[in-house]
Formats: sequence, structure tokens, C-alpha cells
Amino acid sequence: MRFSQNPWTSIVISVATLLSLLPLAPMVAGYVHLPDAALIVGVSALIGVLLTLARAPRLLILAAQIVAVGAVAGWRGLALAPQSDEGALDTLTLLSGEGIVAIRTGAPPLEPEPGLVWLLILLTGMIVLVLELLVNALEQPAWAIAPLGLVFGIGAITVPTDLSFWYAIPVIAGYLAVLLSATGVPDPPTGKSPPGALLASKVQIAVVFGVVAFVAAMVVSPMLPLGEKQPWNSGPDGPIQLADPTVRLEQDLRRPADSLVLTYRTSDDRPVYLRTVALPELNSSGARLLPMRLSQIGLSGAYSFPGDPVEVLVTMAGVPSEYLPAPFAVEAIDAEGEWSFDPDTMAVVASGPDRLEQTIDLSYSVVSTIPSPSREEVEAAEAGSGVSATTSEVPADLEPAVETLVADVVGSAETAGEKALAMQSFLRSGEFEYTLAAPASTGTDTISAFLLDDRAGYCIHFAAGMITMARMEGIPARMAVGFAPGERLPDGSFEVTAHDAHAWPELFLDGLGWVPFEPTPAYDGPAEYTDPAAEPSGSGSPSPTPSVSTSQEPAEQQPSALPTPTLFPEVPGEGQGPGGAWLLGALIVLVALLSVPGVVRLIQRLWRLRPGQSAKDAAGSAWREVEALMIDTGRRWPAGSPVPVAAALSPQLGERSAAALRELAHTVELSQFSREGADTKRLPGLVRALRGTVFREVGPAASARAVLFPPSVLQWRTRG
Amino acid sequence: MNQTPTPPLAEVSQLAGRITSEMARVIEGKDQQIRTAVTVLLAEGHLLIEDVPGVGKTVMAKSLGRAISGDVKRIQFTPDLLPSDVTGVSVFNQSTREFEFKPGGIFAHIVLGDEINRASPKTQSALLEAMAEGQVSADGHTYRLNDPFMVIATQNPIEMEGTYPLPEAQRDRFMARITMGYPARTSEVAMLEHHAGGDRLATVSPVTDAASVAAAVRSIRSVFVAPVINDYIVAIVEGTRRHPDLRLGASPRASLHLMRTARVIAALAGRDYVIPEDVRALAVEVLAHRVLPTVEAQVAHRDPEGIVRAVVDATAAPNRG
Repeated sequence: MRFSQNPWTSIVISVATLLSLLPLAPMVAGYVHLPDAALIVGVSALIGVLLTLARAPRLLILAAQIVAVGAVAGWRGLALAPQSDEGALDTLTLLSGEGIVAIRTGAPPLEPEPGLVWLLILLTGMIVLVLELLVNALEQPAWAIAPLGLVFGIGAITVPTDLSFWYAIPVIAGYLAVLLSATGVPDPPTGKSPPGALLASKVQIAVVFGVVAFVAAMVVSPMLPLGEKQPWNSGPDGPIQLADPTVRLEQDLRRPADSLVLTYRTSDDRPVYLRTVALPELNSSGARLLPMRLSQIGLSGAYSFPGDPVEVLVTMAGVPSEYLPAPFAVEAIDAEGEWSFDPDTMAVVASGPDRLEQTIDLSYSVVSTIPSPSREEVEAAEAGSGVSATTSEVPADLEPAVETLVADVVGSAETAGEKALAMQSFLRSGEFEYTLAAPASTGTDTISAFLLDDRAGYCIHFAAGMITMARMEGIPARMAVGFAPGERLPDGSFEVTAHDAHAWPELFLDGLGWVPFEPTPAYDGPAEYTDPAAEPSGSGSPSPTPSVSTSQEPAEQQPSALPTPTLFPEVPGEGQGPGGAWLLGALIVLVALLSVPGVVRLIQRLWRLRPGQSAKDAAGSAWREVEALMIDTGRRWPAGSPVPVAAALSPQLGERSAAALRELAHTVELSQFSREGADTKRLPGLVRALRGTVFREVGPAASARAVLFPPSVLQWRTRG
Repeated sequence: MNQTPTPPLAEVSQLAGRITSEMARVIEGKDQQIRTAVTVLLAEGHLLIEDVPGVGKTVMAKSLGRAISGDVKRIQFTPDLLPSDVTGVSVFNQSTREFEFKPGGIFAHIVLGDEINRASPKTQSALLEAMAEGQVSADGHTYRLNDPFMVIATQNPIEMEGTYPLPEAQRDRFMARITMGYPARTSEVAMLEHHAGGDRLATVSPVTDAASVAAAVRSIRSVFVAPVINDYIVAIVEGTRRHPDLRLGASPRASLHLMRTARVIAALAGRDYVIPEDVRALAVEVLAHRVLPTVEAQVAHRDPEGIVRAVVDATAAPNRG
């Protein structure tokens, strides 16, 4: 089959090349390289169009494009390079060296230095020429995905958290455009190519590549840490059943013997609350989880309120947990296994195959933006809005006296922030007693009794009490569950034990986001902004405290300037050594190599059974597919015409396969040799049906072998 | 001429089956040769049987003639046979005072030309011209031959004494050449037993008539030959012309004959189109007697049949569309 070259193809290739460069945005600052890239692809397109219209041989066209692209790239390189007395070649070599140094030493996004721009020009030229080679010279437009996906692939590996999935869309659009523009099979009577004749088959091929990429991602992703996860890998398919974290909290707090849960170390040596999850719902029966919308992409930037960035390195003991303890609000995590997050609560949840065991002995690092408003900011803040309505629902059936109590507590406070501080002070006052002997419930009755009569309980009661009061004052509130900061060890790290399990309220304040409060008196470290006794500019006590100095400047611009996970220091004594990386790489390469025959065979089959072929071609390729199927399932293919071959093979087949084969053979024979021809539209369906019955007859093992390692791909034939 | 309507191909196939099985009753163990003979009859060709005496060549011809209830005439070719003995002669009739044409041995449905290579080349060519043209011209008149008309010529192997080998051009006029070969032992025993009962040819009963056969022949002409099949036929024939072991390849007439046999074989299989297997089925019989091996090939005992078989096997069939 020959594609007739179409002048549009070169233009479409050029546009697709430009589109495929868009994922560079998170890697290279600015768009300085784009005019040069446009120049390169424009030259290539111009030559392609002119020479195609002049009916030049396609290899000549490609050669002309190579020369022109090379010349333009060289000219631009010399223009970019600083003036020197060196020869042109040496100048360009030096420029390339500078570009490589810029890439190796800089952190994304890279500054568009001349050397880097020159390398990007070369990359653009290479992509456009490889596309011309694949699409026009080799007539394999389907493979255009490889050069077009190159930049995206680089981005997916180097800046996975900043590379949004949406960057794949221009790449895919360019690919589809290339597929559509490559012209179809010439129609024998007219010699012209019906536009879109191959559309269906190309879409099929695109689907195949999509499936292959997806499968590859599924195979590879469990081996990679989340930080390097491919962005197109969407969230888990099945619903994940999450355990009630308060139950776990109960168990941990009431455990007679304390046990180590984790140790952590922060980048600024300050203690942090490690949150596992938040319970948005608090109704008459207590605090509960809401269903999560788990996602594996878009973690960075999912929480957009100000805070101080902190990096935490955590080493878990042999403790199973489906939630990853991390300071609120997580910006990026670097942990082995598959992790997803819920954008509402910013909880990080294990979603891998052994999700309940995923945290055992896990070492990971987390970058979080911890809300740290100053006291003034809190006092000035009004209640926020625009969050889930659940977090504003006052639990039903509260005793009426609670309302009076809240009014008393709030007193003359005007803003939501002042009211919240007043509630915290009330709960932390001597009127309340910390005791584990309270009922393990946060139901309405318990809370009413806690606030009005008993005034004794532990963290969940203080948290639920404050949440209830906040909601009555119209402030959205939810219960955070996790661990208190724990105890500082001599080496500067912190140790968190089961008894540090904790719950605290988070209130949603306008402009500040979800601000954690600490109403539980037993915990001696409320942040300065929440502690009316503390000096607003206090330097913090030497004891472990989760407070963050308010002298730090407001951090509105911080989240976007976060370092990428690649810049993390290694966890001491942990992490994957070079040997592990090699093993992983070798495994990936091995899997990729092993899947080649099956993939080739799959593409071959889809290509042969594609619609839009002429009747004779369809019959011939359907019959070749049958031959391949028989060879793949271990039969010798006799020479001859379809019907005699079918007759010869029939004794080796089951009854249904034999009948299907004979019907196929008859149709193929009619279409090839008879005067009237035959309806070949049914052939692909017949071939697939035959494949199904043959696979059923030979059993799963032989079928799997036929699919994965088909011997037929090794049989090259000179004809047909 | 009042023609019998052309029958559907299924009936043609049945007709051929009846002829074949009737003949097989008297010629034991030679099914392949019988089928070839019937195929050649339906393909409007002539058959050359080359073998040593006494292996049933004559019985083959006669049983075929009887089975189709056609006229069978036998011309024993001898060195002194004259062309007019074959074609016929005009004789002056004293009573009508006009010349009357006395048809020769060729005026029959099945003509058995026995030991054709014993006749002089002149007489041979008289027969062969009549075969090619389907008519005889004598004294300004043209006389049409019968329909169907088939010559079954027998020939002793050319190495035998007192023979004039048929020239290449004349062998080319035969659609196919077969050899009878000695019968298998069981078949020969069976033959002896049957012979004990008298003239076995007399037991062959007509299963059809000449007009039906002529109609069947016309039916077969409608069998479709796809262009790829024609290409295949020509490729095979060209292959014989290029083969290093052959100093003379097959002629364009060979291509035509090969196509016609393929058509008959397709029709006998109940198909109205030809597949490559049909072409291959009789390729050796159709082509081998037309080619001349080189001296080197002869010295190396590479016979034409083997060479033609190799050519056929080496030619890619249009199976793969």
C-alpha cells in the first residue's frame, strides 16, 4: 500500500510539532524559544509543500528538509551564540555545552539562556524531521506519537507534579491531526485517495497506542514512587473502603502500652501536627468521613491558601495505616507505593494493591503548606464560604442551653476569628478536664453533656465541641484526625507514639483557609495565634510546640515556589540505592522488550482487519490474519487456496472452528476468484469469531502464548 | 443447428461423474487418467496417450466413446497411411454423375489415432490440421467435424523402433499427454477375471449423448477466470520458458489449454470460477509434452514432468490476494 503524499501533511506535521512543544512550559521559563521553533517548522513545512506540489520524490523532499532545517538551525545557533573568533562548528559545540550545563545545573523552570534555546531549536528540528520521515517517507503515521510525545514524556519524568495532564491534549490533538492528514489508500479506478478513507483504521491505531500506553503505565506505575507517577494514570477504578479513623484514634489513646508510630524530621526543625484525615461531617451521631474524590494528579496546588512551606521526612514504624500522616496541607509527597489524595480534605490515602500495609516501615518525604496566620489576621478574619455545606451543618437535637452557652462564650466578639479564639479559650480554661474516662462518642447527647454538664473528655470531645460551637456561629468547621507533634529526640528528630493520636478542629476562615485550632487543654502547644496568653511576636518556647513563628512574612507566593521532589535530601540510610534503580530500569526494559511481539501482532491484526479496504485487499488480509492465528496456535499452514487449506486444517480444529474457517475460506475465495466477488464486510467479524472459538478450543495457556509470543510475527514473507 | 440448452454447472459435474464411473468399470485402477480424458473432452481438447503397447490406451478411447454414445472411429496409423484415409476423399458416383465426399476416419466424435507416430509426417499433419481447425476441406468444400470432437492419439515411446516422433509444433496441438502405466497388481488380476467373461467394452453402456456433452462444453465456457488466475497461468508458462533445464518452453497455446482445463476442473468441482488449485491440477499433463529439456538435463535424467512440476511449485499462487 502506498500513501500518496499530500501537501497538507507537511503543514500539519509542523503545527503538531509546535503543539508538542507546549508541555515545555513547566520546564522552561518564558516562550523565547517558540519563535525559533516556529521558524524551523515553518521552513520544513514550506519545503515540504512546495516540493510535494512539484511532485518531487519523497526521499528528495526529506533530504531537502534536512538540509534546510540544519541550515536554519545553524544560522540561529550562530546568532544566539556570543561573538567569538572560533569557527562556526566550535561555536555551536560550545553553545550546546552551555545548554547542557544549564539543564544539568538549573532547577525547572530553566532560564532561557542561549545555549538552552539552541538545544530546543535542535530538538524541534529533530522532531519535525523524524515526523516527516515516519509519516511521509516511511508511511507509518501511527508511529508519529513517539516524536510528538517526546517533550511530554520528558516533562512527565522531570517535573511530574507541575506537568498537568492537560498538557497532553495539544500533543494528542497534533497526533490525531497528523493521522487524519496522511492520505488514504489510492482508489484503484481513479488513482485518487478518498479523504479520510483510513480514518477508521487510524482511530483504531490511535486507540491501540492509547491502550498500550495505558497498559504500560499500569505495569510500570506500581514500580515507581508517586513523585514520578505518569500523569495520565487516573485515579483508582474501584471505590476504596476507608476505615473510621476515630476508632483507630480510640484504640491508640487507650492502649495501655505505648508504641512507636513514626519518627519525623522537619526542614526547619519545628514540630508539626501530622494529620491523617479530616472528618467533614458532624451530625447527631458523631463525626464521620465523607466519601472522597480520590485523585493521583494535581496534588500540587490543590490547596491554594497561604501558609508556610515545610518539608517533613517521616519514617514509619511497622504500623499499618491507609492514611499517610502528613502536615496539612500537602503540596507534594515522595513515597513508595500508590497514593491518592482527596482535594477536599487534602488527606493522602493509599490506593495501591496492598493499601492497608502500604505505610509499614515506609520512609517518605512530604512538602506541606502549613497555615500560619498571625493573631491579627485571625482576629480580623470572617467566616469563609464556598466549602462543602456539610461542614456548616449544626448537629441536630442539641440541647437548647448550648445556644445560650455559645452566646455567652462568644460574648462581644465580632469577627469569626475572634469568636473562634474565644471558643478555644473557653475550652482550654480550667472549667474543662482532660480525661480518657469519657464516653467514646461525639454524638449530640455526648457533646451537649460535655459542653453543659460534665466538662470532661478528651481530644475528640474538645474538637467536636468547638466544631459544634463554630458551626452555630456560622463558621464552617471539621475535625482533623492525626497525631500531635510528639517528643523531640536529642538528634533533633521527633518521635510520635500511639498515645500521640489526636483530633483537633479546623475552621474555615475567609482568606486564610482551613485554620487548625487546639481546644484540648492537655496539649500544651497551641499556636501563638490561637493562644491568647502568648505574645504575638513570641519566639516560641523551647518545648516541643507546633507553633510557627509569626515573624515570618506572609507566604501567599510560597506554594508555587516549592522545590520539586528531586531536590529533596535523601532520607538517611533509607531510600533506593543505585542498585535498586538499575534493577527497576532493567525490569522495565525487560517487560517492554517482552511485550514487543504481542504488541506487533496486535497492531498487525488491527491493521489487517481495518475497515476501508477494497474487497480483495480485505479478503487477502483477513486470510493472512487467519494464517497467523493458525500458526500462533501451533498449526502448520498448508500451501494452497483458502478452501483447500481450510479443508486440510479442519481435522485439526474443533467442530465450530472448522465450520467458521470453512465459511471464511469460502468468502475469501469468492472475493478473490469469482466473478461476483463476495461481501467482505463480514470478514473481520468472522475472523474475530474464529479467533474466539480457536482460543477457547486450545485453552487459556496456549491462547496466552499465542497472544504474548505469537510465532507468526517471526515469519516474514516476500509476497502479500 | 438445434442446440441442447446449456445445463447448469452442477449437472455438468454429475454428467462428468457418470462418464468417469462408467469408464472406470472397464479400466481398472486408472482413475486419474480417466478423469484427465474426460476433462480434455469437456475442455474441447485432444489427448495424447504415450505408453508401451497393451496397457489399455485403446480401451480408454473406446470406453469414452461408448459412454457418451458417440461415434468412435479408429485410425491405425501405419507408414503407408495416406492423408485422404484420415480426412476423406471425393469419389465420382456413376449413378448421380457427381463427386461424392466419402468421409475419412476423422468424422466421428471420438477418433482413436493409434500409434500416431508410425505414420508419415504428411499424414500426421493432415490429422493435426483437422484437429486444430475442427473442419476438413476437400475439393473446395468445407466439411465440419462432429461436436464434440476429440482425438485420442496413442504413441509408443519415441525410443521404440520404426517411429516418427511427433514434431514439437504438432505435439503442441494436444491439450494433454498422459501415460497409462502398468496397472497395479490387484487391478491387473481384476482385469483378467473380467476378461474371462468376454468383451468387456460391450458392457459399457451410454450414460449420456453427444449433444449433452456439447451442451456441457458450452456451459463450461461460462466459468469465470479471474485476472489474477490468468496472470498465474501465464506466470507458470513463462516459467517454463525461462527454466535453465528447458531449451523450449511452452507456447501461448499452452496457456490457453491450461486455462481451459482449469475451467473444466472448476466446473467439475461445482464452482463457476477458477482457483489456483484448478490450474495446478493438470499443469504437468498439459505442459510437459510441449517442452524440450536441454541435453544436459536429459543426461542428468531430469524429465520434463519433473521440471514442469518444479516450475509450477516455484510459481507463487495468487492465494494471498
